[in-house]
Amino acid sequence: MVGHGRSWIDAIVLALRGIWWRRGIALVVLVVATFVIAAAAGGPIYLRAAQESLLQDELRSWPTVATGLQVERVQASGSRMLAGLSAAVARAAEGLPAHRPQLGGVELDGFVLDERDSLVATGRMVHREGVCDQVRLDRGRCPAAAGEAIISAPTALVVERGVGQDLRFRPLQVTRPGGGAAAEVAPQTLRVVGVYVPRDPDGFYWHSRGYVASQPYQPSDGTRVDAVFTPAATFEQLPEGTFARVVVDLALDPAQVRLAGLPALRAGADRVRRRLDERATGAHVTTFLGNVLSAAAINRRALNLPVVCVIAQLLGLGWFVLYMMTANASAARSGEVALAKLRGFPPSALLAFGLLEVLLLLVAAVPLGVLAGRAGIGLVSAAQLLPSTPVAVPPGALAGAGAAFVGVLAAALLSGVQVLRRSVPELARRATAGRPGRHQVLGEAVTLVAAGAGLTVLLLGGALGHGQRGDFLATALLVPGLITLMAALVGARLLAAACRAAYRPTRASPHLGAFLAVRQVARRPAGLRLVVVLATAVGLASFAVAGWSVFGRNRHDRAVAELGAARVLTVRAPDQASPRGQVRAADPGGRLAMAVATSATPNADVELVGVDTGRLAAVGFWRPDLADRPLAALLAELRAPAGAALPAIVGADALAKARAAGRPLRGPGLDGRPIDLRPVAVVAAVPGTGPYGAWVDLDQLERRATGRRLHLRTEVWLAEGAPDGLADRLRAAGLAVEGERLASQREELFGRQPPSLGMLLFLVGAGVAALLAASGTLLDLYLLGRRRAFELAAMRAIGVRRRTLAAGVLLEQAMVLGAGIVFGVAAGLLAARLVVPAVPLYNDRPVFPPVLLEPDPRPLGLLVAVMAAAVGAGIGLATALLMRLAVPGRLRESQA
Amino acid sequence: MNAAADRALAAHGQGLVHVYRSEGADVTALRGVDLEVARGETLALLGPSGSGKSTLLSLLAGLFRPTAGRLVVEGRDLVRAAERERAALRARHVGVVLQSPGRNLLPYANALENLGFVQRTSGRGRAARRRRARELLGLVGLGDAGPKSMQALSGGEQQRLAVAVALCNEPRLLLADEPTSQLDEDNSGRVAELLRGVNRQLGTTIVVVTHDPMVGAVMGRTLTLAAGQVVGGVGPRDGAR
Repeated sequence: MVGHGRSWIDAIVLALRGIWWRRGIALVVLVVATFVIAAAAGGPIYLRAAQESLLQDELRSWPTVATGLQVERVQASGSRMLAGLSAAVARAAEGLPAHRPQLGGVELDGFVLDERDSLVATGRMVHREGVCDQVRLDRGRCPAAAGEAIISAPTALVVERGVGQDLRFRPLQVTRPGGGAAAEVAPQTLRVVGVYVPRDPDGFYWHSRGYVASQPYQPSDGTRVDAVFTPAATFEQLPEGTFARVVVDLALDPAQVRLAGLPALRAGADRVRRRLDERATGAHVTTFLGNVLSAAAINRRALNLPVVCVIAQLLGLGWFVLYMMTANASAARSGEVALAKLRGFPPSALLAFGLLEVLLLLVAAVPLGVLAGRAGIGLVSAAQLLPSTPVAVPPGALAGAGAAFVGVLAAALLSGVQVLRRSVPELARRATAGRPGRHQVLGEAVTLVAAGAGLTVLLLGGALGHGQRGDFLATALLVPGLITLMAALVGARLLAAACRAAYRPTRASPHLGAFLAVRQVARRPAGLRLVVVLATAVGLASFAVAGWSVFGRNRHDRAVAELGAARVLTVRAPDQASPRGQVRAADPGGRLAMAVATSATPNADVELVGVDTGRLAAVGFWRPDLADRPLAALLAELRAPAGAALPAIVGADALAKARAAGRPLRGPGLDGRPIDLRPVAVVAAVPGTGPYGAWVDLDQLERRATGRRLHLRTEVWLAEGAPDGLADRLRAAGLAVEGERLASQREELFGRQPPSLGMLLFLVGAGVAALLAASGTLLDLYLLGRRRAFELAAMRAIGVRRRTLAAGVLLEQAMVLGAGIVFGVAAGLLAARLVVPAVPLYNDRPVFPPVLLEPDPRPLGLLVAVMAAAVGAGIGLATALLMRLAVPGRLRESQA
Repeated sequence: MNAAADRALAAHGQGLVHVYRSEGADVTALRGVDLEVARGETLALLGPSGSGKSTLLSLLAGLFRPTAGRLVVEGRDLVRAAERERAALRARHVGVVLQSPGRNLLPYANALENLGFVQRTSGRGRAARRRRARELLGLVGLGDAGPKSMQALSGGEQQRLAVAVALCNEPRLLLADEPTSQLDEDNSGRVAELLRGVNRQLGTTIVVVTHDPMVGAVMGRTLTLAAGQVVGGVGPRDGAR
C-alpha cells in the first residue's frame, strides 16, 4: 500500500515537473478551466447577489408602513398613555430581526378652526417621540409644555398662523374600543411656538403616516394640513372621556434583511402579532410584510431562467475553448505519450500518465474558479448592484463548480484520448491532423442542425414575442448563442470555400505568401475550428454590447423623462412666487437651470406644469420622436399670446379623460382656479409629469394666477452637466432648496431590475469569453505554427525568403481571425436585432418614452476596434515568434 | 519453420511486407523480407535512407503490424497479437532506443526519474526500482548522473542513458534505431562499445539500425537492405536471404 502510495507521489511529482516544463500552455489551460469553473460558480453567486440586491430595492421601494409593523390602540386620555402599549410591544418584539427601535406616539384627527370656530382645514394633532430631532425649526422653538405646538411652514400659510399665535383644534370623535363613538370634545387651543420643516419627509421615522409633506388636497370638506405636533402632556390633559389613538411603529431596516433571514423575519412578525393577541392588550397589529415579500419573491424568480440561459452559453463557449487548449496540451505531450507507448504501458497506465498533468491543472482550477467567480461577481456587484449588497458563495455555486469540473474533465478526456489513440511513430513525429476528416464535417453538420432545430423550437415557441408588451420568454436569451454558433459554422465553411476558390489565382500569382496562406486555411481543420470559436465569442460579445447599449440608453431616457430633467430640486421661493427670478440670477446663460411651477391638485383632469419655454429645450427632456413637430415650433406656440384657452403640450390620457367625461380640457392654475387648455401637441406622457400632465408657458400661467397660491409647488430643473455649485447659487439668490431628485439614481434603480441584471451578466460574461477566445485562438494558431516549424524551415532552406514566409503566415492568421471577428460581429448584430425587441427592459411596461431599439454604434465600434487591435498585435507577435523558429538549422533535428 | 524453432529465435520474419499511406498514396516500405535473429546475437541493419530498415525495426518492436508475412518476436506472433499484447511485449521483453537521444527520455525528469518512469509497468517496488536504476547507471558509465537533469547531460550521455532506460525491464531483445547518428566519433564509439558490452554481460540480443561503420563493425552480423528488400548479409550466420 505504502509503495503504491509512493508511486502515486512519484507520478504526481513527475507531472508537476511536466507542468513546469510546459508552463506556458499549462497556464493557458489553467486560466481557461478557471474561467469555465468561474462561470459555473459565478452564475449562482451572481444570482444570489442580484437577488439580495433586488430584495433590498423591493423593500426600499415600498413605504415604511407596508414593510413595518404598526400597533395601534384606542384609549382614553390620561397620564402615561403611551407607556403601557410601548412596554407591551417591546416585550412582544423581543427577538424580532431586522427592525429599527420602536417609535411611539399619540394622534387625534380633527379640524383646524379659525377664531370664529369656522373650519379652515382638516389635520391631526400628534405627539411623536423625538419629533424635534427630525425637523428643522424655521422659526420658534420646540414645544415643551402641554398646549404648545409646532406647525409646518405650508400649514402656517394655509391656517395663517405664526409663532406666538393660537390655533384652535377640534378633535374628531374616535371609535372607542368595543364600539361606540367617544363623546364630543370641545375645541382645544394650542399655542404655536415654532414652524418646522421636516428634515427627511420620506425617512423611516415618519413611518409613512402622512404627518408631513403629504400632498395638500382639496376634498369636499376642506384643505388637509400637516400634523400639528405637541407634547404628550397635551393629550394627557385632554378632557376626561376623550379617546385618542396610541401608536407604536416598528420600521423594517432593509439593510439588515438578507434572503437567508426571510423565514425568520416572517416568523418574527407573526410572533409579535400572536404575543400581543395572547396578552390581550387590545392592540391592533397591522403589517403587509408577507405580501411585500411574496411580491418580491416573484421578481427575484424572474431572474433565475435568464441567468441559467446566459451561463449555459458562456459555459458552452468556454468548454470549447478549453477543449482546444487541452488538445494543445495533449499534443504538446505527444512525444512523451509516444515514449510511454514505446515502453509498453498498458492502457490504464497510459491514460493516467497522459492525463495526470491536465487533471492536476483542472483540480487546481476548481478552487481558483470559485474564488475568481466570487471576485468577479464582487466587482460586478460593486459596479452595478445596490451598494453593500452581500456577495456570498451559495451551495449552488459549489455544485455548479463541481458540474463544470466534470465538464472540463470530459473535454480533457476527449482531447487527450485522441492523442493516446495515435501510433508511436505518429506521436513521435508530432504530426498534425490534415484536412478535415469526415467525423469533423459530420460533427459540424450535427451541431448546425441541432442549433437550427433549437432556434426553430424557440421561435415557434414564441421566444421572440414582444417583450415590451410583457410576453417575454427568458429562453429568448438562448437565441443569440444559437444564431452566432450557426453563423460561425457557416462562416468557417465559407472561408474554406473562398480559400479553395483562390487556389487558381494564387497559383499564377508571384506572391508565394498568398499561395501558402489560402491552402493552409482551406486544408487545416484547426484553423476553421478557430473561426468557429472566435466568431461565436465575438458574436455573443457583440450581441451583449448592442443589447446593453439599448438598455442603457432607454434606462437613461426613461429616468430623465420621468423627472423632466437630469436633476430636479424642490424649492420654495419667498412670497409664493415661482422661482424664475432666482433661476435667472443663478444661471444667466439659460442653459443649465429652469424654473417650474405647478398647482398640486390631484383631483383635476390635468396637472398643469408651467415651464420656462425659453430654457426648456436646453434643460428639460425632449426627443424628436415624441411629437410630429419640432420642439422649437411647439414652444413658440406655447409662448404665443393666448386667448381664453392656454396653449399646452398635453398628455394623451389627460385628453382622453376629459373627452370621455365630455368636459373641456381644463387644469388648475397656480391659484387653484381652472384654466381652459388648447392642445398644440398630444404626447404619450409629458416629461416630468406623466400621461395626465400638460406643459404650459410659465409666464402665462403666472399671469393668470390672481388669487392666493395655496397649493403652489415649485421646482428648479437642472440640465445634465449642471455644476454642483448651482444649487448654492440658487440658495444665494433666495431660494430654499427642500429636496432633490436625481435621474441618475432612478437610472441605477432601473439598472438593478431583473432584465438589466440578466443583460449585465451577459455583457460581463461574453466580454471575458471574447477575450479568452481571442487569446486562446492566438495561442492555438501559434502552437499550430510551431508544429509547422519544420515545414517553414524547409521552405527557408530551399530559398523561400523570410519575408515571403512571414507574409504567408500573417495572411493566414489574419484570414482566420479576421473572419472570426467579421462573422461574429455580423451574427451578434443580427441576434441583437431579433432578440432585443423581445426582451423587456424593465419590470413594468412604461408607456413613455417610447423604447428605442437601435444599438449605439459607438460601443460596438469600440469593441471591434479593441478586438482588431488585440488580434492584430497578437498575430504580429505570433508570426515574429514563429519566424524565429523557422530557421534551416531546425532541419538538423530529426523529425521521423 | 515450426513453433519450436520460433521459440529458439529472438525474432523470425518471413515474407514481411509493409505498406503505409502517405499524402494519399500507398508506399511500400518492405517487399518480402525474411529474417532470423538468434538469441544472444548482435545484428546491424544497414542500408541507404528509405531502404526500410527503420520500418523493419518498428515491426520487430511491435509498433506496426506487417501488411503481409509472418513475424514472431520472443515467441509472440506479432501479426496476430493485439495492441495490448504487443505493448506487453515491449514492456517485458523488448527494449527500444530511438534515433534522437531526446526522444527516449522525459526532458523534464532527471536520470533517476527517467529510469523510474519506465519501470512503472515492471511491478517492482519503489526501492527495487531505484536499485535497478542505480545498477543501470553504473552499467552505462553514468554512476553519478542520477540527479542530473537532461539539460545537464551531453548528447553521448543522454544516449547512454537511453540505452539504460531501454534495459530497465531486463529485455531479451534490444532494438536501437541509429543510436549514434547525432553523436561525435568519440561518443559513437562509447555507445557502440556499450551495446557490445550489454550483449556480452547480459546476453541481450541486439538489433541496431545504423549508417555508422563503427557500430556495424562491433555487431556480430550485418544485414543490408535496399528498396525494402534484403540485398546482402555478412557475418557468422547467413540468417537472411
